[in-house]
Amino acid sequence: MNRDYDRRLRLLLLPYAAGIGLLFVLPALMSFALAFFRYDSLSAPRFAGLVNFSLVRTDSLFNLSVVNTLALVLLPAPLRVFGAFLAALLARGGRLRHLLRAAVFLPSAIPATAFALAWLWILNPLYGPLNRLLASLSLATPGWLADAQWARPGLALAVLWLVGEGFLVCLAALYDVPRDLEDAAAVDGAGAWAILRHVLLPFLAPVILLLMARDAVLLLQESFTLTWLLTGGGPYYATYTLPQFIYEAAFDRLDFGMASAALWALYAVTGLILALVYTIARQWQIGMSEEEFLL
Amino acid sequence: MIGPPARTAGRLLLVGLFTLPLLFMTLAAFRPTGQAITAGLWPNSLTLDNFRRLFAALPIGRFTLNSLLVVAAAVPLTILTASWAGFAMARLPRSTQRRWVLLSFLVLMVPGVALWSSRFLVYNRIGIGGTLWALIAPAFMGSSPFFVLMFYRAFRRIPPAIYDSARLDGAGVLATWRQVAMPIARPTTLAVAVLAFVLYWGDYLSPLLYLNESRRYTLPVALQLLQQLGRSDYPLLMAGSLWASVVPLTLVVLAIVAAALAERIRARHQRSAVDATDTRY
Amino acid sequence: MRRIIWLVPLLLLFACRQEKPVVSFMVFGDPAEYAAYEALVAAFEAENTDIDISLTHIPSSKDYRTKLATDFAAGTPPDIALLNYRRVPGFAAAGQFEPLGPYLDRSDVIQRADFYPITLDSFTWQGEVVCIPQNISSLVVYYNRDLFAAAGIDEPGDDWTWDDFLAAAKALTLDKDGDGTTDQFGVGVEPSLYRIAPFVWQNGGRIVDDPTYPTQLGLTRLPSLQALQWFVDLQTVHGVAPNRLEEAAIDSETRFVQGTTAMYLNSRRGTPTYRESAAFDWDIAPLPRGQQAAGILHSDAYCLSAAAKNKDAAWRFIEFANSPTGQTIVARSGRTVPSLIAVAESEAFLDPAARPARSRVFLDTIPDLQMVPLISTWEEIESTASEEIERAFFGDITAEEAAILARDRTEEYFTLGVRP
Repeated sequence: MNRDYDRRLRLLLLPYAAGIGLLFVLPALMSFALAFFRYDSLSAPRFAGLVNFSLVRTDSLFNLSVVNTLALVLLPAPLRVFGAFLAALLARGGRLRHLLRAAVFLPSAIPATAFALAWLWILNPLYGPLNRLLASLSLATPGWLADAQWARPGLALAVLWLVGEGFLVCLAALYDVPRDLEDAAAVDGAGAWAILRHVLLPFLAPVILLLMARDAVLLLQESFTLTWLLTGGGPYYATYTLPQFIYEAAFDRLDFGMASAALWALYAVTGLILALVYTIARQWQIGMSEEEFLL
Repeated sequence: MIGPPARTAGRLLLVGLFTLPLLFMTLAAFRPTGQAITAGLWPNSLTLDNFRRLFAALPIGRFTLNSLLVVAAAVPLTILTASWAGFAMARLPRSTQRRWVLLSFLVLMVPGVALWSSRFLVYNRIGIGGTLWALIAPAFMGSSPFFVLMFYRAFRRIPPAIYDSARLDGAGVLATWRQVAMPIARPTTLAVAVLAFVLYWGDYLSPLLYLNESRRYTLPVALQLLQQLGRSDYPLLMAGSLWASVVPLTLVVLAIVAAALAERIRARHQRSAVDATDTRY
Repeated sequence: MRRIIWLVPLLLLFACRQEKPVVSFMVFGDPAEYAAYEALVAAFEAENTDIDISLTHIPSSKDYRTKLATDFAAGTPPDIALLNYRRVPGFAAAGQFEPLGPYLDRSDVIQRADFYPITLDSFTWQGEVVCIPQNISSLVVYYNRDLFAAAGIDEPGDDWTWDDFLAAAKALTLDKDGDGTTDQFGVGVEPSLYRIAPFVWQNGGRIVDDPTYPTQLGLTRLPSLQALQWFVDLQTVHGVAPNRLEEAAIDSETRFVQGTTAMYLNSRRGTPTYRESAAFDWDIAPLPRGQQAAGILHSDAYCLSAAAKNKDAAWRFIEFANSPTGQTIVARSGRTVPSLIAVAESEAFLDPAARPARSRVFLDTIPDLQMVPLISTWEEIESTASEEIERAFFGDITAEEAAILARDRTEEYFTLGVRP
C-alpha cells in the first residue's frame, strides 16, 4: 500500500523529471560534448579535440565579451537584490502595500521586448524623458546607448527596474520571519533599523545570498534581450556580452562547436558566482541547512 | 526610527519610480503623429493614430492570437505539471525530498543562454522546431523549477494530518492532489498562473530562436520587427509595446486586487491565525 | 466541469497542427515593400490554384541573413528566399541553393538575353547562375524638392559633381531657430562600406586589392583613402550629416521622411516607403560624379533551397515572379528597377505619374555599375569594415586609422573565404 502510494507519487513527478532530463540535462551534456567537435548542423560533427577552445581563447571579441558580461551582470545584481529587499520590506504591511506590490511587479510583468523599447525611448540622447529631466535640472546629459562610455551604465540602470522575482521571494521570506521575534525586539525598545539589522537580516541572509546568485544568472539572459534590441552589442562592442558571442557563433555562423566551447566559459562564470556565494556563506557562518533553503 | 508616515511616503516614492517607464511608454503611445518627438514630452492631444498605424504595419492580430494560443496551452499545463511535481515532492520521504529540492535549485542556476544552441538542435531532432510546440515545450515540466518549488512550499505547509485523513478515506494520490491539496493552495495556484502567463507572454528568445515562419510569431517578436521597421518612430514603438503589455498588466492588477480582497476576507474570518505567507501579492 | 477545463489546452494544441502542402517564400523589407510581394503572390495563386505560397517577412536585411542561416541549420529553410548578391556566396559555397541556370535554359517564359547581363553575372557561382535576379538597382540621391526650393538652390543635374553635392548639402544644413543645434541636415547616409564603395571607384580607387581574386581591402591606397576622407568629412568637418547622438536620437532615413534632411542616399528600395509616407515633393538624382563615372549594383534574386521538397512548384513561382507579368507587378509598387530589360524600359517602371519623376536615372547609370567581389565571407568583411568606417564618420578615429583597422580586421575573412 505504502510502496504503491509512493510509486504513484513518483509518477506525478515524472513530467518534471523527464523535462529536466530532456530540456536541461541533455542540452547541457550536448553542449559539453559539442565543444570538442566542429559542427554546423548541416554535415556530421567532426572531432576536433581542443581546437574550439583555443579558437575561443584567442578570439579578442570573446575576451571582451567576458569582461563586459561581468560588468553588466555582477554590478547590477547586488543592487537589484537590495532594491527588491527594500521594496519587499515596505510592501510587507501597512497602507498602500497592495499598490506598491503591483507597482514593483509591473515592469517585470510586461514583455522584455516592450520593456527594452520603453528604455530605448527613455534613454534617447536628445529627446528622451531621462535627458530632458537631467537637462531641466541643469545636469550633464550623457549620450547613453549611443556613447561607448555610457551604454553600460544605461543598461545597468534599466535592469534595476526588473526586480519582480526577487521581490516575490523576499516578500515570501519576510512573511516567514516569526512575528514574535520581531515583537520581542520591539518590546526591548529596538528601533526599526535595529530590528532590520539584528532580526530580519540574519534570518534572511541565506535567502538573500541565494537570490544574489540566481539574480546574476537571470541577468545573463535579461541583459541579452536588452543589448540585442537596444545596442546590438555596440557602440563599438561596449555592450558586447558573452550571450551575444554565443548567439552569433551558433545562429549566425552556425559554429555550434565554438558556441559550446564558449558555453564552458559561461558555466565557469556561473560556477564562480555559486562558489562566491558559498564562500561568503561559510565565512559569515550563515546556516545553509535544507530547512532555510526552502524559500 | 522610521515612522509610519515616512514609510507611506517611501511606498509612494517607490510606486512612482516603478511605474515611470510605463508612464513614459503610455505618453508616447498616445502622442499625435503630427507632433514631432523634438517638441516636448507631453502630447498636446491624445490620439489612437499610432495603434491604427501599428495594425497597418504588421499583422498584429495574428501575432496576438499566437501569443494567446501559447499562453492558453502553456499556463494550464504548467499549473498541472508544476503542482504534480510540487505535490509529489512534498509527500515523498524526507531524503528524496531533499534531493529534488537541491536538483531544482541547481536547475534554477543554469543560465538560459547555455541551453539555446543545444535545445535548438534537440527541438529540430524531435521535430518540433519551427512550431508553436517549441514555445510550449517547457510547460510539460512545470516551466520553471521556481514554480515547482512554489507549489512544494505551499503543499508542505498543509498539516500531514489532513493528508492522512484523506488517505484513510481511501483517496488515491490523484484524488488527494485534486480534492485536498489544490483547493488549499489556491493562492499559490493564482500566483503561479500569473507568473507563468507573464513568462510565456513575454518570451522573446524562444520564438526568435526556434520559429522560422512569420505567421507563427508572437507579440514579443512583433516588437522586434517593429523596431527594425523604424527605430526612431517612438510613438509607433511605444504603441506596440503598450499593446503587448496590456494583457499582462491587467492580469497582474486583477490578481493583486483578488489577493487583497482575499486577505481582507480572511482577516475578518480568522483574525488570529492569518496565514499571510500564501498571499504573496 | 473541472475536467473539461483541462481539455482546452489540448484542443488548442491540436488546433495549431494543420499541415498543407505549400511553397514557402521569404522576403525582407518595409511594409510598403512587403505589400508588393503580397500582390505578386496573390497574382500567382490566382493563376495557379494548385500551389499555395506561404510568405514570410523579415524587416531587417541583416537579421534576415541570420534567420536564413538558422533555418538552414534547423533543416527547415524556406523553399524560396529573396537574397542580395553580396549574401548569396555564403550560402552557395555551402551548396545550399539549387542552381537555377538549367531551369532558366529550359524555360519558355524567360531567357538569359532578357536580363541585364550584370544581374546574371552577380548571381553566377562556379560558372552557373544560382539565383534569378529580380532587379538592377543602384545607389542614388533621394532629395526633397520642397527644401531645395525653400533654400533657393538648383536641383541636382544629371552631371553634378562632388563639389556641387557638398555645396548643396551646406546650403541645406540649417539651424532655423538659432539655438546652436542643427534642425535640418543637408545629407543623410549610412556610413558603411557598401555606401562608400561607389565614391571610392569614382575616385579611381578600389575597395579590394584585386577584384577578380581579392585578398584584402584596398581602402588604404591613396585614391581610395581620398574618397573615404571626403565621405567622412561630410560629417566631421562640414557637419552636413547628423553626428552620432543626432543619428541615435532620430535616424537619417526617418529625418528624410519627416522632411528634416534634404538628401538621403539609398537604392530603389526606399521608393515604396517614401511614396507612402513622405508628405512633400521628392525626386532622385544620380550620385555626384568624381573623376570617373561609377555606380554600385544593388540586386536581389529569387533563390531556390536545395532542400526544397517541391522544386518544380517553387520554380513555377520563381519563373512567374521574373516573367514580364510578375516583374511588372513588383515594379509598379516602386520596389524594383526590373532586371528584365523590356520591363525596365516600360511604363510600369518609368510611370510618369508616380514619384520619382527621374526614374530613368537608374537606367542611365547601368553602364557604369560595378559590383562588390563575390566571396563567401563578404558579409563579415562588410560589417567589420563598416564598423570602422562608422567610427571615422562620427569622428572617433581618422579616415587613415579606419582604413588600416578595416584592412587588418578583415584579413582573416579573406583567408577563410571561398571564391567562385
